[in-house]
Amino acid sequence: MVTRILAGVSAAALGICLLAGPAAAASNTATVTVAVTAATQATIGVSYSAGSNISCDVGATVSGAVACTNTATLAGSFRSTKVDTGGTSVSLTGAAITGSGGASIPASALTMTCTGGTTGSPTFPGTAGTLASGTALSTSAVNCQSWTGTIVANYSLVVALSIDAGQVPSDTYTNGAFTATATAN
Amino acid sequence: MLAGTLALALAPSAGHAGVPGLQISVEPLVVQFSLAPGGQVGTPVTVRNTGSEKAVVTVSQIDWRTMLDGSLKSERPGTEGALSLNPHLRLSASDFTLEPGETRRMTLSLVLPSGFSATPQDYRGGYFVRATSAASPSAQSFGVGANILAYETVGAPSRHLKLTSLKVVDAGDRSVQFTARLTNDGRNYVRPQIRMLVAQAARIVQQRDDSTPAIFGGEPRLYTRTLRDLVPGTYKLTLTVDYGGDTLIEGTTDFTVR
Repeated sequence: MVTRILAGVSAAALGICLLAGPAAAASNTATVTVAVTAATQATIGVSYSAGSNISCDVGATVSGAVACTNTATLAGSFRSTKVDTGGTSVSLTGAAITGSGGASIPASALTMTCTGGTTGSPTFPGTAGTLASGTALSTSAVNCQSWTGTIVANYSLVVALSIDAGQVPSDTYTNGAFTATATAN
Repeated sequence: MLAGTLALALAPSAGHAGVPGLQISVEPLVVQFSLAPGGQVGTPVTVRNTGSEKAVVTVSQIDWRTMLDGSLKSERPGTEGALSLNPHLRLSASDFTLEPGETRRMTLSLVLPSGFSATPQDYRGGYFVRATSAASPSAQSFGVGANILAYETVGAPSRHLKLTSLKVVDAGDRSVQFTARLTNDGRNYVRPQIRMLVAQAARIVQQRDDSTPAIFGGEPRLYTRTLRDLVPGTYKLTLTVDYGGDTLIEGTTDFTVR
């Protein structure tokens, strides 16, 4: 059976209801000196499926995506509530990689695909967002996975990288300054 | 011929307690200040090495903002201009080394000069804590890190959120994707808590409690979720948003699955 979904356009009825008037205007109430330290905590770590790194060897390939060997597992935990954090995430930040001969690979030449999520059966697993899939890295953080709502859980995310051979000038490259970051906001 | 080899990390050492490899724990990730000009306040921050490798930890200030989809964009200090809290924010340590199992306790301090603007307003700043393996402590190593985000509210800025649209589209395979557009038309950041109900013939078939990251004054947010496993029929989606103000916001829309 074919499923068709009619929604959102002419068929949808949209109602927006403000149950009371707008919020009060700014007041002159003196600020109380206080620091609310939300009980938000994160643990984040990295390990590898084999060996000691991820290796991307384009060999003689001149164009197209080449899968890197080995994967990185980003594992840790989050503890937060929806009151003091609206969302949590594990992201990966790339960097341009300079070869020994002076050539450079932009961060965006690498793409990541993440699998996994929270582990076990946590009481507060959060609401998972969409896992990164073939997502280009950047010098800014790119989410591998994110969650909303209360989360008190362990997570394990496997990151598989691919590199666009067309963006790899002939050279030998060693370590890249990549960072996996836990955030709650 | 093109040839390139990229190694993203070095070998972890073995033989220590804790999770194999490089791992740290950071607490808290969020600090919310309400400090008047001329005041000062401090709060504890803890970084613990929970892995099996000795870790080199570096701490640096960041500016940041929240994007339309709620994701965080980390920025260089000063990017947020007058809204940046960083000139007045201090962390009691910057670079240090942690053995496996070792903990470093620090103090995050906010000191506002007496001449700081008393106009009700939100400010933000923070720190990025990054750890690399002591076996490869250079900046070119694969690291792990966490953001410590600080919010400061001076006075009592107006607080208000509105729901400006609610749309549902076909996502295939008996699924729909709905998107709510929220706009903070106040001046104080809000962290909405959202209840979603899906009803068919007045019977609730799905419900979910959720949240979205902080929305700062004047900024919009797209809240998008997918509803799955919907049998053919007509449904009513109701979204109720509690943003911490005096009112709740409610939006409804009907859709049909055939």
